[in-house]
Amino acid sequence: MYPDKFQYFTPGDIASLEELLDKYRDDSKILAGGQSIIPLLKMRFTSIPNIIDISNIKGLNFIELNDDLEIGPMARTAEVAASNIVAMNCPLLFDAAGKVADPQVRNMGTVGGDICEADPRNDMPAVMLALNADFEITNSSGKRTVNSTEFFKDAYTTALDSNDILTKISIKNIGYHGKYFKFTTMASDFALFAVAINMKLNSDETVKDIGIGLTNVSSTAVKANEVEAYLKGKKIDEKISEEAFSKLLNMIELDDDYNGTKEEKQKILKKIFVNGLKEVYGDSK
Amino acid sequence: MMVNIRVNGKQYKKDIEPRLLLVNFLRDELNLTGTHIGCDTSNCGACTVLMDGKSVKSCTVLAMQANNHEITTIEHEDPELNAIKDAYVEEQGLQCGFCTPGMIMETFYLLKDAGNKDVDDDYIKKKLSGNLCRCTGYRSIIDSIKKANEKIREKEEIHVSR
Ligand code: FES
Ligand code: FES
Repeated sequence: MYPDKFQYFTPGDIASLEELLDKYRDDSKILAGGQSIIPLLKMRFTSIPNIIDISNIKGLNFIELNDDLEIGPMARTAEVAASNIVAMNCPLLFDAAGKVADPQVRNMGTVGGDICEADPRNDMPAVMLALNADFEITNSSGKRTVNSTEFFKDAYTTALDSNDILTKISIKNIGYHGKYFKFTTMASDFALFAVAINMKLNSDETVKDIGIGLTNVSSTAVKANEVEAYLKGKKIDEKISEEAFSKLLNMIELDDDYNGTKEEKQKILKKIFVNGLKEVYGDSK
Repeated sequence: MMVNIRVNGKQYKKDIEPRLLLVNFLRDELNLTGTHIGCDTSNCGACTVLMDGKSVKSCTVLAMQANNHEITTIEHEDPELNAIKDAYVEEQGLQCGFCTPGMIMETFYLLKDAGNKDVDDDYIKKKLSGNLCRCTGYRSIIDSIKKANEKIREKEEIHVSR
């Protein structure tokens, strides 16, 4: 399968990237690893006249701990999944990055691309919501920061304008415990659904702060605000988890499809969610 | 557009269309048909090659993205890669053989990537999640990988592949 024809650019610095984006705007798209966009181009779900590969721009591939954990847009998913800095400061991201697709896709794909593509089945949007991550966005008129909760608008639609570049992912909720619980029918495939949990406890074992994100239960990743608010200040046990799940159900849309009926899916999601909360709570103690 | 890609130690300079995929570059431009196209939708891993030593699905990489990079395919004569080919023959890690080039290239990568980790069933299964086989049921593939690991560690003499 061949993509439709396109022009291909490899700018060497941010200034030339901005210039290209300003010139082609909606007729262009940034290519990082290409693991989401190339399949779409091949299937001709989309056709983009100007593809701008950013892999030759120096300084976009970094994983650093400053005040926040900072990740560059060209950091490959496999690099994040193998990084000690990430493992020590952000176990949720570490775990989730190692569960994206399969080893080959992780070697090529980037965390930034996963976020910007905003496919509701992608893993990173829910993880970013659970982490309350901030995104630094750059274009020819300057920089701004957008919180992940303001970023994902709809399937494949984000707060990015056609000349915007995601230049940094910042995670301030570090030193938490967290895990990504992903349910798939085929190991390398998209999640049927997944739950990202990031948690920190007070000394009396009540929840100090918690972030919960869900993959593939709506047209975008979902941040379970009400559930987070409900769980804060509580000790998590079976009863509380079930109550939390009933609140969660109001925030998501599950439908019957070839993977199962709505009821079956709810049952599985409940198991994953309740067990997941228990596990991360246990780890946090 | 011009690309400069090093494949199995040899430098190739070609004028290609930007939409050309790496797998088609290898198969159609360079006649290296050992790399297979199974699904063409990033699922099966038959098209796995190494780019700068890391496994990628060449049906999901533009040839342009490999510009100035180094590609290793199943045709390469690296002694360790040949040891893996031997192990697959000895342990019958293939039936129809369609998935095999991808399996072997991913094996090459996962053994290098293992570092000090144990190459046990668990590790292999996780690392092989991007490769599908319709014939073997995977058992013999896992055995081949373990055998290959031994061979490489013991630097056993290589015979079958050449
Ligand atoms: S042909 Fe590339 S993954 Fe199947
Ligand atoms: S041996 Fe036939 S597909 Fe694997």
